[in-house]
Amino acid sequence: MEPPEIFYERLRHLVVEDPRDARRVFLQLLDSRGPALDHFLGRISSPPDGRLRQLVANALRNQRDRERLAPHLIAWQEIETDEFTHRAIQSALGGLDTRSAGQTALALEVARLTTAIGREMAQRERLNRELEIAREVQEHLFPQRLPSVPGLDYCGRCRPAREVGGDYYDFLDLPKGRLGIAIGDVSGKGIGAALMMASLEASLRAQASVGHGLAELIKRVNSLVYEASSANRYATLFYAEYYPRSRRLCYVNAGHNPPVILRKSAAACRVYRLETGGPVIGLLRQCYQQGSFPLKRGDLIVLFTDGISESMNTRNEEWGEDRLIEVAKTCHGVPASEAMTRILAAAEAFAAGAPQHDDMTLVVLRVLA
Amino acid sequence: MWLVEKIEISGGFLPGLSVDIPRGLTCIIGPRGSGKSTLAEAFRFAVCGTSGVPKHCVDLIQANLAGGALVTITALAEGSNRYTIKRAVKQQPVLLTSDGRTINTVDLDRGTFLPLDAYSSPEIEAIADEVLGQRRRNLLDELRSDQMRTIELSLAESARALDANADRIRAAQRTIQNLTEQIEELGDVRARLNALAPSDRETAGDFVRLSRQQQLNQREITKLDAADRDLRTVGQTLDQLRKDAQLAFKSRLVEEQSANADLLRRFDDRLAALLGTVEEHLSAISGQVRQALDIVAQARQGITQAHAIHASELAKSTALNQAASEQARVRATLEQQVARLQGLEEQRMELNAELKALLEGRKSLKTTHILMRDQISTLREEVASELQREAGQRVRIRIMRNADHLAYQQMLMDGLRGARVRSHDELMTTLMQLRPEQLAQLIQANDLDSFEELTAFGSERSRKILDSFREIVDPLALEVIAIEDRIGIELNVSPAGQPNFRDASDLSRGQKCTALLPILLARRDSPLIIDQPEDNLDNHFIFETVVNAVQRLKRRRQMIFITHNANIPVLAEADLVLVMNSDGRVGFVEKLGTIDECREQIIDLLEGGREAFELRSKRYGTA
Repeated sequence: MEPPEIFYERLRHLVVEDPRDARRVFLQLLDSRGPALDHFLGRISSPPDGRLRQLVANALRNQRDRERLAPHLIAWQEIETDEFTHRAIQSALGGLDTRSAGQTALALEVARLTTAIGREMAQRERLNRELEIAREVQEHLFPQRLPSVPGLDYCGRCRPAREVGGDYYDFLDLPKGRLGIAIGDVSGKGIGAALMMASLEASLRAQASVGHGLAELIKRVNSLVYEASSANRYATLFYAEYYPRSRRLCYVNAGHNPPVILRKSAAACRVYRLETGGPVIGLLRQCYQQGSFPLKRGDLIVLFTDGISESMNTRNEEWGEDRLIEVAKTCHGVPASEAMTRILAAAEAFAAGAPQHDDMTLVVLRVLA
Repeated sequence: MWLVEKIEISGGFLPGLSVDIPRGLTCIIGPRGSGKSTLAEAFRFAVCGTSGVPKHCVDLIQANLAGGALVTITALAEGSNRYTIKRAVKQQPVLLTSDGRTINTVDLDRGTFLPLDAYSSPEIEAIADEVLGQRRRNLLDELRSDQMRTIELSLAESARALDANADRIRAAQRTIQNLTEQIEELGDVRARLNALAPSDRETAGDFVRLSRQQQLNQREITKLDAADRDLRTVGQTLDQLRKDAQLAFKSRLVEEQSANADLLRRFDDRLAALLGTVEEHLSAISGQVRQALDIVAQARQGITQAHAIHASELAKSTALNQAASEQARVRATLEQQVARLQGLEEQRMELNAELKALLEGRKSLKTTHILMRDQISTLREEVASELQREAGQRVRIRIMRNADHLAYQQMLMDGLRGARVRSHDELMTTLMQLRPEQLAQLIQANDLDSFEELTAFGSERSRKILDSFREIVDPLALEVIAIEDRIGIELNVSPAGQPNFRDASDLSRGQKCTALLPILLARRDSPLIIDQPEDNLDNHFIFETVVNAVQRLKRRRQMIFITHNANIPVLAEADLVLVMNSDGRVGFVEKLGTIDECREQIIDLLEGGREAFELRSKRYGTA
């Protein structure tokens, strides 16, 4: 199989030069059911590639093609600027009712497609597909608003990679003014990861409101996820609850990169790592231990996923936790959002244009002085 | 960026007018017939002349600046270069530097030296109304004029190549058709020859050999003709190349008036010196081409003699043949026909090979051509998103690729008309999902299966339609038929909540102007002259889309507005208000000054004047 970029270039010319032959080549790709198809479909969403999108729209031979390609066509339909392609997509989607308004429609659509594909997945054990949808699922899982907590300045962001990874973070508004903070990374990529992430989020949100101790809570989440997911899938998870009055942070670290706490004193800047907990979620039935850390005014807490600490530059060097901590040390006294921007910018500057191959997720908390 | 510093008019309807124009925003107001439009057009006339300007504007200038009235504009260009332009109707403009020297090397009317954007109200409406067509595209294309020109030139060149290729394909197809007919006419002469009893005479063999030679002789002549023609084309190309080289190497770097003239003269000389060498080489090649033509002529001479000998032998042989028996004569004629058939078949084979090569060559020509057209759309998308950023949320500008396709639609309708099928509208909807190059390929290959698969018309209807297309539509013209982008310029007419964007063509006169203004304002940095339509502008839109943009962008470019809406001068803080009036015979500037100085006139002359001032004082908290 030729490299994806070369295939794309070849087809871009062929579709003008010899449309029939281009169709034949694309149908071959469609029937190959390999990752090259996903790469190609993900590559052709910019305006000048209208001819290639039309090629896809013209390629629906049966119901199976339709299920396979409709998610892309639905996504393109909204942004299509080419007249011919627009017509071809509309006609291809024909019966499918996609023209309802607003956010709910999008959510419904994502849900509908996710279940359809999930079913197919269960039957065929296929992975790494429907990345577009996986991304939408992922985006819907991120917190839409931040509960306000007295004395705490915080924020979180996930920058998804081209192939959706399984990063996840969440903030929970808990009784008695407590704030739940979660960050995790599901193994693998694509729709499977997105589904497990959804299950993790749902389990955690459901159990957190019940109010057990944290170790018990994570144990329950673990067994719920364990039952719901396939054997080789797991997730790392760091979950903490912050008590604003006592400024205490209780946490369980289930196999996640230990978050760091930076405490600046007159002499130096001390670094603490939050490591207490247990192994990853979803792999074994398992018990966990709860850790506790008394925060002080001015402390900066940085939670991250390995997409940040392991971001690579073009020479395949890792950015590394040490560099992350060095940058974080310069962020004392600045707002959490600013600290986050600085860290992401530093990681990006280090990567210097190398492709991002994993999601990068960062949560920053600052105890206000 | 450049500025108009001053305008003076020496006669016509505005005699003795002389106004200093500030940076920022100038608003011209006044009653109907006071010379506002004349003044606006005088700016454009002086800077751009009359070519490419709409007729009604030229008429206005010719009527109101007749009798040798001279328009003088002082311009401050990049840095601190000052120029003066003087122009009168039907006369060449004069461009002067600040120390009074004339500049002859600049053609002002091309609009590249001092570019000016001027829009009369009918022009604005015309852009708004023309959903399909070039006007809206020009609005974008002008902003990338250099790149566009480069692409247009390459496109024109590839269009010529495509045309030439199509001509040769058609000629080859015609000749093949012709040959096939001749071959069919001859019928199955080989079988008839075989059916004859074997011959016993020698002369028939000779006769056949000579007849066959006759065919070959003809083809030799054709080949000599072709060689001769091709060499002459090369000779002409060389002559052209020599002329081009003379132009290219001609000394022209020196600007005679410039202080650097001596510095550049040296380089001019060196360039000129190179020309000698180039010419030497070229004439050497020309000499060789002439030599080649000579050789061809010699070959022709030699072959003509040989042919003459063959011809006389054939004549002899024919005479002999005449005398021979009936059966021998029949055999001889048949053998002659077989020889002819063979010749025709060989010729057809060669032509088929040539046709195949031509079609193959066309593929890449066509691909380059079409992908180049796509580049234009991509450039337009870039411009549109730049303009969109400046124009704000109320107005939406977007490129609908390939949505200006009337010619294609017409061609499809013509094709359908011959097909004797019903419900054309429905069929058209489906056919318009096929790109021209796609359909052209199906027609050319007579590919019924693909056609049916792509259209789902069913086999009988597909057959009828494809046959009719094959009859009526020329696939070579179809695959590169002109298809253009459509530019959507839309205004959100919903005051709040769900946006409701409507195309500019579908708006009231005032709204049309409102939709276009943010785009016209944002385009570039040269001075902008707008003659707003006298129509009820919706104050809500004016405020939201225009006032803010004017206020923001007037720092970047000079603006001169003829306006009927008080919000523009008052709320966008005009730097100068010019109040025009007329005594019925001539127009004049009645008053000029700041907004506050012209407050009375603004309230009297413009709609919503008082309210605008009230709003302004609320804004600034002053009384």
